[in-house]
Amino acid sequence: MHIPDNYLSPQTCAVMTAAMVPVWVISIKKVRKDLSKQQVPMMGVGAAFSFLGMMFNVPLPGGTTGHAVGGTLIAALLGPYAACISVSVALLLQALLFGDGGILSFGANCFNMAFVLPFVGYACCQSFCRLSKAQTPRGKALCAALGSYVGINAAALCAAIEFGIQPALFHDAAGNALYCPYGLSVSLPAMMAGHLTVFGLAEAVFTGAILAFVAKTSPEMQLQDTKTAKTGLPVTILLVVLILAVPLGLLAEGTAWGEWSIDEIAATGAGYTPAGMTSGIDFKALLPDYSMAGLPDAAGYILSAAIGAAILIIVFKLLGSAGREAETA
Amino acid sequence: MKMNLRVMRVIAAITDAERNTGKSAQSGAAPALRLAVSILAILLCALSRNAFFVLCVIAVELLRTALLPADGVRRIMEKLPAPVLMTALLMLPAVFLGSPRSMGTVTMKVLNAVLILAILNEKVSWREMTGALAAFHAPEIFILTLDTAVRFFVLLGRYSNRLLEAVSLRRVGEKTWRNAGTGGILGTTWLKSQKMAAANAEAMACRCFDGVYRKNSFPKRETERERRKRFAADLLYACLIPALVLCFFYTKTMV
Repeated sequence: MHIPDNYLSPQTCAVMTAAMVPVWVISIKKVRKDLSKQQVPMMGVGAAFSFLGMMFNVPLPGGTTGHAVGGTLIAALLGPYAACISVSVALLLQALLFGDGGILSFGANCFNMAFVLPFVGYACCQSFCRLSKAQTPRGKALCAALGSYVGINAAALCAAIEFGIQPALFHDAAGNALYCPYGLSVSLPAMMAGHLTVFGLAEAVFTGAILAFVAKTSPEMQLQDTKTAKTGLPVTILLVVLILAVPLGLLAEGTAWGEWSIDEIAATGAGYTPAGMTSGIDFKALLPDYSMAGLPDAAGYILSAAIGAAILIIVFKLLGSAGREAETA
Repeated sequence: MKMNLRVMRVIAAITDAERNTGKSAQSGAAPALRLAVSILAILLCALSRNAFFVLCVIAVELLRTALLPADGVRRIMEKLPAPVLMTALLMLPAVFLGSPRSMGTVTMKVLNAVLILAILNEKVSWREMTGALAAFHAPEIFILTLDTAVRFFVLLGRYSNRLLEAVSLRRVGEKTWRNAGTGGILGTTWLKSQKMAAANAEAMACRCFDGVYRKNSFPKRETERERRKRFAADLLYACLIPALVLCFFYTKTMV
């Protein structure tokens, strides 16, 4: 679901970024108001989980892959506004450091995965809890899992529409698309088929399993009631286990739909490489595709996971610490 | 003299670490093991010819930093920018001379060394550090000199800064004061250090301290659970030594 650069027109990217600006502003204001400074580092832990979740690629017959995002998980733990900030920061790190998702399309990726996914997922989770009157941690985890399933599908639908409208809006005189070459008739079924089945299920399992684990081992980490939430040892162990297990994501061969490189796109059925893609921006990340030349893929993947998760937690801890200092000053 | 303030602040952080954090390595691995692993990691990073090993160690150290409390993370991160930026600046000519990788590798090595030492400082107090040196059979006179020197840096730094402040307040428009002031401050600080050294020797005699540093002893009233926890932490750190060496030789074969 990470839209790379040059798949969306610069105009589309600008509109999506403009749409995200008020969401970020409101989210920051709400987080400042609702979350205690002790809870800010928890956003980093949530962002780290989301980052790691996105590294576990799940294969689908036909050679495509997908992954969980974990936006609803963070929303269930800290609220949807905190989830928006956490996933946005995780996406920024992925784009800048690992080249996963584009720089220009950052706004669009945030709109799908940091806004639509957690807010829809959280709203559905709350509705399911209300309807089923779920009170037990297991019941709440189940509601969150169902909410995350709806959330990731809503996000995939948005991404499919963004891809699909490109050929109609931006094409040359010969009718060839300038950016994403596939229209809505292809992008909608291609994106939704995977997310309604395997990837949606992966998101639900990821959200439900981690929420159930957290409720059992570190209940103080849950929800906004506690103002002094902190990472317990079990959560830390889970984080380390996830980091060490990320090479499992390499078992899934193939490229996710809509994330092909410029060399691959003609062979996917498009028959040509759109002109806007060949002349678009080409950003070189420090560790492209979570790998390092000369290092085995699995080692590069673990290194990337460790560095990414650590940076996210450190950034949010520094933000929390700065907030506390500003409060006491 | 502005530099004096910075040096004083850094060394005060070293000696005040125990008081500020309230942490004791006795709740985790033995300080001697922590020190050994830290020195080994820095040494191997310095010896490594490529960036792989350095990157591996940085990843682990970043994870360790991320798991520390927020205030500890802030203290560690505050120490990083100055040496890393200075190294990058010094290595900048390498980019223009056609070796941009050298700049990245050396800067990463410096980042790694500072990060390791900052974490060590965060987790191990100065008192425990001297105990760890004693555990390595470092000469007593060496530990005493180091310990005294570090503590005197702080005390004399504070004293000379107070003098500097007093001189600055009295300096009204005469430039010659600056030169006269520096010599005077250093001379007065030297005389003060002599008095303090004598007072220190008397204080040592009063406390029956003969310059022999004891190795870190574990708490006498230690429950079985605490003992197991400490053993597990020690074992984990001990395993890091062969792991580091293996990783070093493995990454050495890579281009």
